[in-house]
Amino acid sequence: MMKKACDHRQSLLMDIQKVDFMLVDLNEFLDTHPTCQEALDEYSNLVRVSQKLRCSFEKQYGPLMTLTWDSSQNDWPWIQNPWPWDVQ
Amino acid sequence: MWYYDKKLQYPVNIKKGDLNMAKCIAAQLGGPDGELSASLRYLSQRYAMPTGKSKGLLTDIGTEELAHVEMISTMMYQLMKDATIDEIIAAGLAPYYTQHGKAVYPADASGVPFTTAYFQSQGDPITNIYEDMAAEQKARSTYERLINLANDPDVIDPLRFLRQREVIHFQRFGEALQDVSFHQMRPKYH
Repeated sequence: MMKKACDHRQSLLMDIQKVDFMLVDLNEFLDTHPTCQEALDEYSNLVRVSQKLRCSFEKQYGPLMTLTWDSSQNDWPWIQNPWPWDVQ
Repeated sequence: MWYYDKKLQYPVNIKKGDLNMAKCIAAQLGGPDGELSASLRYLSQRYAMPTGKSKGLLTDIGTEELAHVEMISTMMYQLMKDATIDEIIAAGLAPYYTQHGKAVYPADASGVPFTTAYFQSQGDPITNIYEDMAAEQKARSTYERLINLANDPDVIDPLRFLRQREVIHFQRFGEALQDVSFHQMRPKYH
């Protein structure tokens, strides 16, 4: 990948990592505080942000998850590098 | 049921190999207080949990620990991948290299292979949650020692993230302990 595209991919992925981390943390918090309205509202907002970011990432750089991937193209980009353990 | 998300929970990009650090970080992959042990502990124990809160929490933390197994494995991979034979010998990793090459294998810092004997899963949920709280503290202490040993910011940064998760999980398990204790104290009518 060209350097500029690579940097953009990295920064978009980082945005997704940030939002998805907040969702994981809030998910665990809600397990023991299931009626906390502030946390419920925050979760609901962040889910929408995550979906938007993931959609934008997948359109440009291929699937993050196969379950929700629209495969009506003529290839299977799931198998494309980089994988998460590759130095980015 | 699980799905794979093709990203790390927190970025790991180690540009400089360091075999001694890889050897020490193995503690958190295949060691007694490591991430694999944590994940399998919670995912095994969850069936004995009596409340929705505790079932949910053990499922969700057990799942997050798998993402930590992946982060630690990535650190090991990146720290070892460009090592030369001379470096491997100098770091005392010739026995590891003989058995595994430069692959990631779940063993502890002394090379002892991972075993499920590192954790328990009992029918008593209170007993299980006390073990879980202790496990989080032991992992936190281990991360602090790894941070003391490390000098590359690319290594320290993900270790600090993982240490912080141990602190949060300890807090959440404390809340689950309260929930399960309350559940067990409720009056039972027969």
